[in-house]
Amino acid sequence: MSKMLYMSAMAQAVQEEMEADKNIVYMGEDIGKFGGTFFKNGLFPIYGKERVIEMPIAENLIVAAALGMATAGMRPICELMYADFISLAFDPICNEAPKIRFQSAGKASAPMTLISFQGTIDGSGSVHSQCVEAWIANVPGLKLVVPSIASDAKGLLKTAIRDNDPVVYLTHKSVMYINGDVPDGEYTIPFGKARVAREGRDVTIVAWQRCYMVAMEAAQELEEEFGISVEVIDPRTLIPLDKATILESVKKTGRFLVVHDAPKKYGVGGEIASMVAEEAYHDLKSAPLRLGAPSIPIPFFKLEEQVIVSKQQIKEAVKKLVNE
Amino acid sequence: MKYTNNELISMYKTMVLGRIYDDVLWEENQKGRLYSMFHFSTGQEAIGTAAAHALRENEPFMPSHRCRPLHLHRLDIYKYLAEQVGIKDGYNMGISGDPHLTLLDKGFIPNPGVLGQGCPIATGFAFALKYMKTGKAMVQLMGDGTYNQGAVYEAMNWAVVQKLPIVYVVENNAFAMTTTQDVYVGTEALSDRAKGLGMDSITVNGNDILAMREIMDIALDRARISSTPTMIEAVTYRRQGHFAGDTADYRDKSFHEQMLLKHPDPILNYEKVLIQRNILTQDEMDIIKVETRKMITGACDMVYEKMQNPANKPSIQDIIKPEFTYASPMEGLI
Repeated sequence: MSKMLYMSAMAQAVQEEMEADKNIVYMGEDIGKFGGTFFKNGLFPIYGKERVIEMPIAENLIVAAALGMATAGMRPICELMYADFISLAFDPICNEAPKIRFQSAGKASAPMTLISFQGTIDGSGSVHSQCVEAWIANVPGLKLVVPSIASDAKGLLKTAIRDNDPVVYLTHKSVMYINGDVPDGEYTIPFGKARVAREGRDVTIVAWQRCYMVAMEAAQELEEEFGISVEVIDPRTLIPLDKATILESVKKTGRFLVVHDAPKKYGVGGEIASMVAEEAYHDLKSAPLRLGAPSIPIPFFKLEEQVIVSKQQIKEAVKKLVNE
Repeated sequence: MKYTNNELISMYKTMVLGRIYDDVLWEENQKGRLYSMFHFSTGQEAIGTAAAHALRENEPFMPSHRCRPLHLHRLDIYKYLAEQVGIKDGYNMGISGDPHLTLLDKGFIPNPGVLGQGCPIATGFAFALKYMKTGKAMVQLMGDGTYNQGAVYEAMNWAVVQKLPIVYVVENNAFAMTTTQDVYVGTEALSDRAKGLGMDSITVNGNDILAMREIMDIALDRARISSTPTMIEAVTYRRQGHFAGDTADYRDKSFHEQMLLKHPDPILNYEKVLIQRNILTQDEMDIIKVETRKMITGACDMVYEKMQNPANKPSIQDIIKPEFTYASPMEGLI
């Protein structure tokens, strides 16, 4: 076990996998001498330009070329500097990659990992700050990973790289530079296994990444200030989603809140809350709640803080659930 | 003569196979017997045939949606037809149809539904051929409409930078769906665009099978030996509408007549050459056509018979299997 940044845990995962499999290459923007914009992966000095492929700033090409390599028998990892830019690669990742297996009636596959960096960190404005899970989550054939802490960042990335489906690994700029304890060497986490980060009796919160951090703080304060016991579940992967862990928790607490950075309307929180409403109706003491951003673009600089979900909002939502 | 008589005859058969297959499929559509949405390759057979024969058997390609000869050259007619009309005996159980035929083991890189988006995928595939030191080269075919997609230039630029073993063939058939080139071409020749990226390119008569084959051989050898990409503009003409059933009312009549004269039928072109060189007689060619038609109609009858039993058509239960969408079991597909 070593203490390291989330980002470094990712780098360790990629390095270990590249060491083990020559057919893995890492491709993306500004990943040569510069070493990566958000994710300093440390790969270029080790593997050089043969396997660390610095790409033209052409997102469609980056993801589509990775798909071509994957169908040819390689196992590429491609990176887009901002998750917002997935829009430029929407065709390969949403229209093409997830259909290879289906259209071959299960015979072919596209084992590729798309890494990108979502969310707010420094007030970068409307096209460099969004959380885009919902853009991806409605596409059959893709897997969607959203690690919140350093050890998960490593374990899930290794699983993503080894997975035989196209995997979208969305990290969040607000959690990438936080330290955590990370197991050394071989360490994988299966997809579809949520992590109960804090046990509680009164309310279940599902949250990931920045909202997970905020939810953990809110839970601590709710306990201290009001004696409300909150269970916080980090789903770790949205596709597949660990329904069982969430439902088991709701069975115990009878109250449910899902929190994310993306707009509340048509966000993935709606799917998770509906799932709870459909499958745990009789366990619920109050209607499931969702928190997310209002349906406006993320404003520039400090104003962003007023758009994304705050600790106060979470505390109020929990109190509302308990008082109903 | 560069090619053996057997090879010349084999190319003729591939062209004829492509032509008659489309003819018969259209007749079946008209009869209401075998229905499938498809795009004619009619009049463009020299291009797909040249690619089919220039590629080595184990070399991959990404076809355009007008590549019937290239499709049929490597495949079993019955299983192909079954795929096209959507019965379980098809190569992919009728899930992909012919436009998205995903048969990587036979070298078919699936042509995406969004044309033009295939170019960077094919280019990534070419990267893998080089990276994995296979010594193979590959071909990607696209139309002149496809050639206007931005992704094409992202990809071709990178192929030059990375020196990838790929040959891009643009079938310039004068139409992009219903539009003519006054809407979408600003350069003198389509091959000029590739030159702007630093890629060697050439414009050839796409209705001359021997010219097409020779240039394809040269380009593929360059790709195999020195890993150099090439762009070939194959000038041809789309004799039919965009899809089977498109009556092409948008097409100017005098333009159409002019273009038919300017781009004579590639099969008739080739027949003249074969007769002139004493390789085949008209009678022999007629026999080839009759036999080809018989083989295709035979396959149609077999497929039609199979279709009569509903059990041979895939149902939702057949295709909703998790292993068709995900590598590992996934809950909740429905």
